[in-house]
Amino acid sequence: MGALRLECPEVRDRLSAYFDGELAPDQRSEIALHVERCPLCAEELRGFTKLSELVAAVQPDSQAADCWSDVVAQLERGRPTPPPPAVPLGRGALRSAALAASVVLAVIAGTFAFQTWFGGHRHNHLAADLTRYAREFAENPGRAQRLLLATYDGQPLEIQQVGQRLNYEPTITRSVPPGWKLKEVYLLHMPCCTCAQAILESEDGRCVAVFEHDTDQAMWFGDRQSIDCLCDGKPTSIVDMGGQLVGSWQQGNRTLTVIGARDLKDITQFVMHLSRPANG
Amino acid sequence: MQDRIVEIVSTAQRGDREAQRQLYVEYHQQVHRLMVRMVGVQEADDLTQQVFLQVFRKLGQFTGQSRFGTWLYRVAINESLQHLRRSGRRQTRTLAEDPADGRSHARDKLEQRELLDRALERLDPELRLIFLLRESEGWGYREIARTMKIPEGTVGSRLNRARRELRRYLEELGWEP
Repeated sequence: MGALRLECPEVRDRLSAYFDGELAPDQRSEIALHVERCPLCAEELRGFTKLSELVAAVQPDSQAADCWSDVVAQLERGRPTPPPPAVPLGRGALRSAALAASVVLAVIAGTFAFQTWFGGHRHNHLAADLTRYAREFAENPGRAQRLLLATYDGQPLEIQQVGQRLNYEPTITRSVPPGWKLKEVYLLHMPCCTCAQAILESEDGRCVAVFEHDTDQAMWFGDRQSIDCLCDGKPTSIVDMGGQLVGSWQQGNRTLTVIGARDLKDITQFVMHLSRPANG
Repeated sequence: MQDRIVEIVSTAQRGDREAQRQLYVEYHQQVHRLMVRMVGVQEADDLTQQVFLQVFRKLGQFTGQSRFGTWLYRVAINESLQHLRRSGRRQTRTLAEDPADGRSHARDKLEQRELLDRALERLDPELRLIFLLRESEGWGYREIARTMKIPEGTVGSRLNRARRELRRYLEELGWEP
């Protein structure tokens, strides 16, 4: 048996290219000769073959669902859409409200329209998008978030970057309520403004989304039925969305909105914490 | 085939929904198959839908300098990598969840498909992608390099790494090549 012209490291560097038939004929012959005589390289090559056989044997058997109608629905967001039907406030939420000592119901409205900061179709789109987001968030926060980010060109950012991009430091990036941790922060380019969004996770694995925007009126859910109440003494608008609550309140010249709260106690916790002087 | 796709893409770029639907029908199973391996069955439908939303929103940016399929896969790849970066923690299962009582037991309990999925899950997402484009999709190095925007020589070295790591992960899970 003659000496091998190639050393093992050289062969191994090119072993995938050899295996995949991507080498020129002369290089291929050299590697073939080495592998024929070198048990270690031959064993590595055998492993590549077995892996390939494994992949071929267990191709995914799931078929893609036909989501064309969903794709079209998303693509046609640009067309005028009617406001979604109002959903009555859940009894569970009201029971929670009664239990939350710090919450004083001030006004219960039959149908309160959240104020809009722009009218017409753009409002309808935004309201429809955020209604969809809030409902989806209750079922599948990850999916809801993906769609929102795609719709509003969302960018994940480091906490320090958010303040630089917005020219103000969002309240939610300074401190989070006890029992919650800040998971992700995004910048969203919405029709109304550029908005900071934070995803928070509780100790028991629940998620909420907190939005902070620098316009002066909350309007995101169109003509949905709402409750106006005082949470920790602060006027707060509450909407029931798929069994979860959305709370929105003014803080200085900005608006904070929490999506995914379990009950008014949750929202009050956020209002209390984020309204403390240390938090702006 | 390519001429037909070029024609459909051109019509779809003018906003023709039927042409867009034809592109969806043509490619959505392939994209879905890749997504299943990249992010798992549960997330694959959502992510496939997300890929096509991006494809049709960005269709005006497709200039025809590459094949449409290559461009579409680039969108799919970006979406899957972004998804994995966003949800990295949830995607990572550790061996701590595995039976601790030896390789043969592990192998008994895990079907080959699950073994492969779990091993792939542990692989770095970019290595996973290159491995899948080669092994599942049968792409050549040039096509992979163009899509991933890396030198052609790098494809081979990354495949070496992907295969070695994957084999090691599989063996840790009880696979015997």
